[in-house]
Amino acid sequence: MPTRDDVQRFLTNASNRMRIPIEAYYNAVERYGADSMQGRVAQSLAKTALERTLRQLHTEAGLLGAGGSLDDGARGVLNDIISTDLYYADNFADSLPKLSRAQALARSQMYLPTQLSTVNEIASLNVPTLPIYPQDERLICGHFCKCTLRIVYLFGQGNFNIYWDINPTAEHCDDCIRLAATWRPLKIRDGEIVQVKAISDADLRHIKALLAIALPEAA
Amino acid sequence: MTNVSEAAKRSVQTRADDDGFMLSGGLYVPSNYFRAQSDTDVAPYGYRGRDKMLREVWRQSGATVVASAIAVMVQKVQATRFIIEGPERTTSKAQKLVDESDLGNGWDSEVAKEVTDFLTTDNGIVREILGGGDPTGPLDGPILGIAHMDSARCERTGDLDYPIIYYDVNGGIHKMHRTRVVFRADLPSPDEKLLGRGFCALSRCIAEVQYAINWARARNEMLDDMPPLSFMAVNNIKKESFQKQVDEYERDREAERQKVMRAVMMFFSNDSGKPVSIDITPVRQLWESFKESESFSVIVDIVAMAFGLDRQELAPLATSAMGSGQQSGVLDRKSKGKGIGAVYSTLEHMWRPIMPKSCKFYFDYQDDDEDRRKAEIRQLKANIVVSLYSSSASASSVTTGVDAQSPLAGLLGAGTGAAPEPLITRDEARELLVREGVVPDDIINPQIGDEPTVQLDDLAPEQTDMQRKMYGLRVKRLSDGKIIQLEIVPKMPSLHTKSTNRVPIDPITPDEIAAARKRLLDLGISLEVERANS
Repeated sequence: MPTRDDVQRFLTNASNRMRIPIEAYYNAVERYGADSMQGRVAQSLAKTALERTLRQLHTEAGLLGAGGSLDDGARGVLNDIISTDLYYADNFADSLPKLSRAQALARSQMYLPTQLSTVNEIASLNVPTLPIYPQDERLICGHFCKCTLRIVYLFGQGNFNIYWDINPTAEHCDDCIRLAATWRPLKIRDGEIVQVKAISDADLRHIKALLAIALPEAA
Repeated sequence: MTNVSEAAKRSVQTRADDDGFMLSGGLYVPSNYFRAQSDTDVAPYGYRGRDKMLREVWRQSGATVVASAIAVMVQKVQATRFIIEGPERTTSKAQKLVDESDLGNGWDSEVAKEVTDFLTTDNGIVREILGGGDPTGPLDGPILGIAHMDSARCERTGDLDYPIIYYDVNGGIHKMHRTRVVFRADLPSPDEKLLGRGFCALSRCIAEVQYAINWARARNEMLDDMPPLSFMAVNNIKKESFQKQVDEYERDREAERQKVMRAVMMFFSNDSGKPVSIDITPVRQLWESFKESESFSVIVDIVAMAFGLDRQELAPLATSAMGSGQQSGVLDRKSKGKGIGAVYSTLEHMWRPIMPKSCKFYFDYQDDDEDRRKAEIRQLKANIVVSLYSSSASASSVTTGVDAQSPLAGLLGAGTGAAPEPLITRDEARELLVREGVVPDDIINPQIGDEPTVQLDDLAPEQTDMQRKMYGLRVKRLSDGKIIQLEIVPKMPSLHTKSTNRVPIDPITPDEIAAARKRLLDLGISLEVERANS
């Protein structure tokens, strides 16, 4: 399971790579116009580049979550994730002429939580079904959740410690704060969830206060 | 501070005072001891030591009926299935508490001891709650187990924080904090000085128990070959001569190894003119017109009354004149929920402070007869609703017997010769079925079944949905190990399953994986799986 720094490094790299095809398209549009032949070719190239970039990023995310090797089950899940994401990416590419550069760049960044979700999902394939996952729509933050799961493999079959890690430099919803406080860790023994940490409302308020201090003032 | 402590501070009663506790146990102690005159004597109600005497009495030879009543009650509770309802993972832990109760001896052992105490001691059931922290102080941490405590060794103090003092076998004295003990008695006394001490079933029929023991002894004395307890007057023989002849007789028996008196004992008078005579006046004897069967029947009735049992559970009917099968059935129904119901209710109540808040422990003690009666009632109600709704010929059964001149005739269409129109619509019929309890409401109104009903420990109430996912769905755990799911398993949505919008793609190839691995390593990202050292 990757560390938080590894995930952050991956996401930063992913963010830059997602911007490249968008920047290239709008550079061509600024030079030749959106309705020109060059503009349409640039759009087609942007679509292909987006597809290739997403495929690469999801594969890297899967490798990150799986710890370097993807078994057949994980590859099957990865294929599903990529085929779903490419559906939305194709729609995005088709709508590029209607968007401004800033809008398109912002929208390209919305694929990052999906890649983070891939890391978590592939990582948790080896553990029993968890009650909830980061980026789950039932969370207050839903798809925009920036949390990660950290899975510590223990000796013996079916023994894991799962931690819900939040990024202290980002804002988090109350659901994630509570999960981060209680999955310290979520213990799985013999394939069954046996324990989470019990916390009081006072503990939660203390944690929120600490997070508020850790947040950059600009946020 | 708990709500109970806070409320008690505002009470004017002595027992709510937290200045200290009553070392006398709140018992009436006009003298320290009650001096028993016989082995069936029991101290008066409220006296110290009464419970110990009660315990000794019912185990004596002759107390057959009451011993059977206690055995019947204990075995009924042992045989009754219990159910633990709540989130799956929490009920698993709760089940463990029950299975390992009484210091690992199990639920059967725990329930047998508790029910026996409930029925035979005025102090009732005392159950120790085992957990972390100083044993002389409040419980600290999760509850680890429960164990029965000898009720006769426990005294009520009247103190809210330390309500029980336990005297152990080695003479040690232990104050039990209220978080470490649960206790209940049958028929707790309203007398403040008695601190909730009860009046158990055995106490309610102790006179009959003593009578039965004495009667059994008298009967046995009549049947054995020893003289009954009596006054014996020996005439025309001196004491020394009498004793000498008795000693001689004993020696002869010993020589012949006669363990039971076989040879006739002969006495010889010192004066041949004055024959020896022996007059025996028995002390213990039954009264005139005494009939054993009637006496036995009275004892059975009184014990059954005291224990809240049907008399047939203790002894079958002797003759048909004492009641028909139907009468017995009525008696059976009336007795249900009395004695045994009080035991179930008490044991269920005692689990409440021990079970996790999200779990509920209860006995499944509705028997087949009860279920059949309920089904018959529901069938009757369903027939009525269907009749009201249906416009078929059979609906006329509702109008049968309705006078054509009656105001209802027009409404019901009686006497008109036309088929009556339905009185209610389909929706109204469904609503009626729900109101009468024939059909559960979540079948008629499915959206009601989606309401989250789980309330769990420690987490905020608004988190019920997440709590359910974290602690598992609500289940019923039966005492035989079976688990019944009470909620539908929700799907766990994830990116790759929740959307059906996909484009066909080529599967990821090993070359792509290798290239991705290289890019990650170039970024300085470790691909090691984190493993713990222990």
